[in-house]
Amino acid sequence: MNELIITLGALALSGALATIAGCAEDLESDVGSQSNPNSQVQLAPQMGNIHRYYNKAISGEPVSYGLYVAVAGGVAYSLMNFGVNPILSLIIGSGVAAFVHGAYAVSAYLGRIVGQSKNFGQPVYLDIIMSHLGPIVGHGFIAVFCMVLMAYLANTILGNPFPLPLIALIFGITVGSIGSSTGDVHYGAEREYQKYPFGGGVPVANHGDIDIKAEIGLRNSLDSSYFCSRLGGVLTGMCFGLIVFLDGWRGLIGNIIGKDTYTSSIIAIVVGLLIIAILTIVNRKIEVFAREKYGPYQ
Amino acid sequence: MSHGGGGHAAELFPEEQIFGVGIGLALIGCYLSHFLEPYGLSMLIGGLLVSAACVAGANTVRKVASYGLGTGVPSIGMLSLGMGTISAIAGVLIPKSFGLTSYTPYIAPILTLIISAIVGFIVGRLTVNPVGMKIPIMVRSMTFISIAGAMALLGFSAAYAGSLMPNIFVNNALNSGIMAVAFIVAGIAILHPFNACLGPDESHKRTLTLAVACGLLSWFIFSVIKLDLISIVISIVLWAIVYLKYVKMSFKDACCVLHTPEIPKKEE
Repeated sequence: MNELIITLGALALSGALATIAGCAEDLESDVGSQSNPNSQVQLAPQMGNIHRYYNKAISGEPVSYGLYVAVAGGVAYSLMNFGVNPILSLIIGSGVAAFVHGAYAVSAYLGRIVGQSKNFGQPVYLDIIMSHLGPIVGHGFIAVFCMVLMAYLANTILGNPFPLPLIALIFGITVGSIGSSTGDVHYGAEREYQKYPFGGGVPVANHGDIDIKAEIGLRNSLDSSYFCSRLGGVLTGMCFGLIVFLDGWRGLIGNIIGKDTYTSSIIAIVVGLLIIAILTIVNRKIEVFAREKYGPYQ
Repeated sequence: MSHGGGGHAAELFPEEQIFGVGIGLALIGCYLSHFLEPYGLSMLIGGLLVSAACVAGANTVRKVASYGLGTGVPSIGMLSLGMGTISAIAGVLIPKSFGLTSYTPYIAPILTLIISAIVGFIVGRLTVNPVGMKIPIMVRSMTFISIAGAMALLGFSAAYAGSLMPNIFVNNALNSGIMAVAFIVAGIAILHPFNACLGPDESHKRTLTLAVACGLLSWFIFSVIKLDLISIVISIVLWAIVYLKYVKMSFKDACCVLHTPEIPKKEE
């Protein structure tokens, strides 16, 4: 029974860590305009909009987060083998990952901006690099540390058979995918195309015609992060936390009720299908409610 | 094409030349990371030479991706290391299954190179025929990219494991999961330079400098993972030199570098 309580605790901690990691990851990608919004930022100077967004085209979010978390996991793994305290190893690993993140972030901004600077008159803004690098690396560090700690819990307490660096890589890809799929929805047309009427989508003719002015002064990517920290980041965190928690809970229920591997697997699958059914109904209700309240889609 | 890819800038060196030199150095690096391990120089010399494979791969990615791959640039980098992983593991394990275990260190790097070329060629043919990508240099580029990925993966894993003997290599690099780190680190080093620098004003010199910086950064990451202090110091210093060169080059190539929030006036 004692072991079960520790497993439950580790599962709850994993859910909490996933929530924080998802939130930090989404806000970090918003500061850098990574992933989906990036193509519009990239297109803007070619449409005559000289902007002050940060263009962090390291690669897609899943791949780049796979890199940071895998680096953190690899460094932590070798430090732990060396005899360093696990938590300290994880912190040092995340620190190395943050350094790598910063290096790639700056080279991505310089490369993408200079790649269309002379033809379209887009200047390199040094103050943007200086002011944005801190939030990018800081949010990245929080997300990477949470993910690598989660990988460590999965490896040591939850009984994941794979080695730490491999789990870290897979968890990094996961957090990047969640941040990209859930978080980017909240930073797209609503933010980059705020001057156009809401709900109209973005016609191809308007591509690249992004907002370059903020509430006060010229808009930069920190404004986007501020905007997204209200809903987008929080929802990303909740989404990822729920995935980790519900999925772990599903397996745990099976283990508690089931008598052998066969019955516990069947119970876990049934509980999983039940969760999917409930979520589908809830999603449908929310969509119908939103459509009735905020008018039909045109 | 939404990323504004395309447009061949003038090449500083021909692609074959960079590829040949890079893969040659990486091949030597794979051997040295096995044979220099008793002297503790496996990561220092082997890692440095293997990072040349990343440069070769990045240069080939630049060539094939300027046909307008756009968002496909990261995908092709991951594909490269995917093909490379199969080839590297096969290269180390095939001699063992033929009973040539004691000769593995001599055979494995060459065998990996040959297998990766075959895998790359097959994948290249598949992308042309059923998938239908109309890029004239696709088969050749896939072969090149596969070789670069395989050499980078085998080299970094061998430099970490310190041996190409199947039992030590599998134990130290594969079962510890360090190969997963090699997969993603080398993958980013191959895909990032062109993905970062693409655009109408892309220059080969800048992309190549960034590729070298990315290769050295990968070497730094593996030095840290191996906890090899001398390699850590030397790799970070070399990386800083090349990276600063890249930053200065970018400032020089930009139309202007501003320190304040202002939009330059358009000249009509």
